[in-house]
Amino acid sequence: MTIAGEQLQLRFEGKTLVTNQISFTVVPEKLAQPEVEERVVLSYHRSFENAQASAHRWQNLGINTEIVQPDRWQVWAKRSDYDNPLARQLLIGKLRLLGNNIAQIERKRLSSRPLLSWQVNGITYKGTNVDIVPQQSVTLVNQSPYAGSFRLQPNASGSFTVVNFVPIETYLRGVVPHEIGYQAPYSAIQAQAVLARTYALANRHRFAVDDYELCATTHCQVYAGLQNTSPLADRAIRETRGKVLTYGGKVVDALYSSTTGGITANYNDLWDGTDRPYLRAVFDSTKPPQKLDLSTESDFRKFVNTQEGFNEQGWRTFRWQKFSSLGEMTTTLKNFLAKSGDTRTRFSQIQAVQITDRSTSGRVLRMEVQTDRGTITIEKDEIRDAFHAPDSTLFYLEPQFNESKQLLGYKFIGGGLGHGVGMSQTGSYRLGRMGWSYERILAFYFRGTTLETLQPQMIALE
Amino acid sequence: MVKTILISWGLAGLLPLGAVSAETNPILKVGIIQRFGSKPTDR
Repeated sequence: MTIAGEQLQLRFEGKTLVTNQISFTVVPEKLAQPEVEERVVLSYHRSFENAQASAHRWQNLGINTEIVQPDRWQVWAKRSDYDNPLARQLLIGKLRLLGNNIAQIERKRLSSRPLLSWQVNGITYKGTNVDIVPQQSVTLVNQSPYAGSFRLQPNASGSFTVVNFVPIETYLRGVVPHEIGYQAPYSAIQAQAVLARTYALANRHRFAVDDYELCATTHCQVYAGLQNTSPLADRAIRETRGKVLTYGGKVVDALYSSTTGGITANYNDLWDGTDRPYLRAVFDSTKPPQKLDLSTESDFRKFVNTQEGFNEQGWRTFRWQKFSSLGEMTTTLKNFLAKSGDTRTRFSQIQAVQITDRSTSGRVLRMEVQTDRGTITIEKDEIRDAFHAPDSTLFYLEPQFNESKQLLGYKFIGGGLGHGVGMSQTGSYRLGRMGWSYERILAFYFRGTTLETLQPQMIALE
Repeated sequence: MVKTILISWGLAGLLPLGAVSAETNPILKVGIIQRFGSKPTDR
């Protein structure tokens, strides 16, 4: 690989080099003696929100924690507190006495450690941390354009992370069009810009363990750098510059999702932890809703079988039906349990599934799965991973039988796509087309919040 | 598994960045490639 030029400044281990192209690979460096790497994994989660709630519970028991995302989100006992095998074994022993069978020691035998390797002017360098400071506005990373500077640094999962340092108003150019879509009405794009800005500022603690703030996927917000930016989104970002949603003087957890199914979810319908008073169920409709108690099965079924009168009506994701055979459900559930550190995977077949608790927004709070080896309970957000069929937790079940009255599986009948908390993106399309301003759209989905210009004291510290 | 990251220069002058202020336009740290060099573990 040829490296020449003067556009990229590389800084590492006290050295500064200049080049215009650099290629990194990860190479193993053999250890003199194999090492064993251990950590205590306390719990496993589908989402950061539940990992954070779990971490608070562990901390209340006197166990300091770290939240990491090697695949699913995990809560680890803080490695610097449990830095020897005896301390880790004692912790596990104590947790078993408390009845916890999920926590476990993950052990990895290492014969080498990974190092970054790169070449400048024919000389090969190796290391673990490199800063790249471009001297121009746009830098290509694997052919994709980005603004700002970069750092390659090790992470808790044993690999490396490429971190982009980018001003928030530029970051939004890589988020807003990808999150709201290119066909959205202008006020919906403006609403998305405010939410993306607010969400980013309120969620900078997600990857504290690895010394960065946000990821670039739907676990945070989709961020594609300067790839496929949109003039309309750029305008919306510019015209809402610095505008954020606040509650009690702090930026809010500005959640949004694709489609709510006709009613947004309360924060605690999906996740444990501190309630957000501004994230309460809102009927996603401009007409006064019928008086329905969606926590009851009969009213809920009536609601899901209503197609008209909603902001999202007509979208493919608004209402759906999906059949899942017992075999498919068994496979998905076993995979889910295995990835969750749950050892109850030795059942041979699911025998029956039922919904045992539903929230006021109609979301399934708890499901019970009967197997030949006992009953397994799955709650809230985890339901979306435990069963293949549901696109959301807004559904009911219809058992399906063959002619001999033998249970074949279940039809999941529901609505929405995603968690359903906060703004409905598809709902905002309709409201925008009806002439609603972005201020009105935001006030509709986030009751009790204030739209104002960012001030330093609004950025909450976790 | 991502094997290589290639970083090179791009086009200049396309960004309406405006003034970067730590208070109103703070710098975010975004993990754009989260697990570079990861491989299946031997756990």
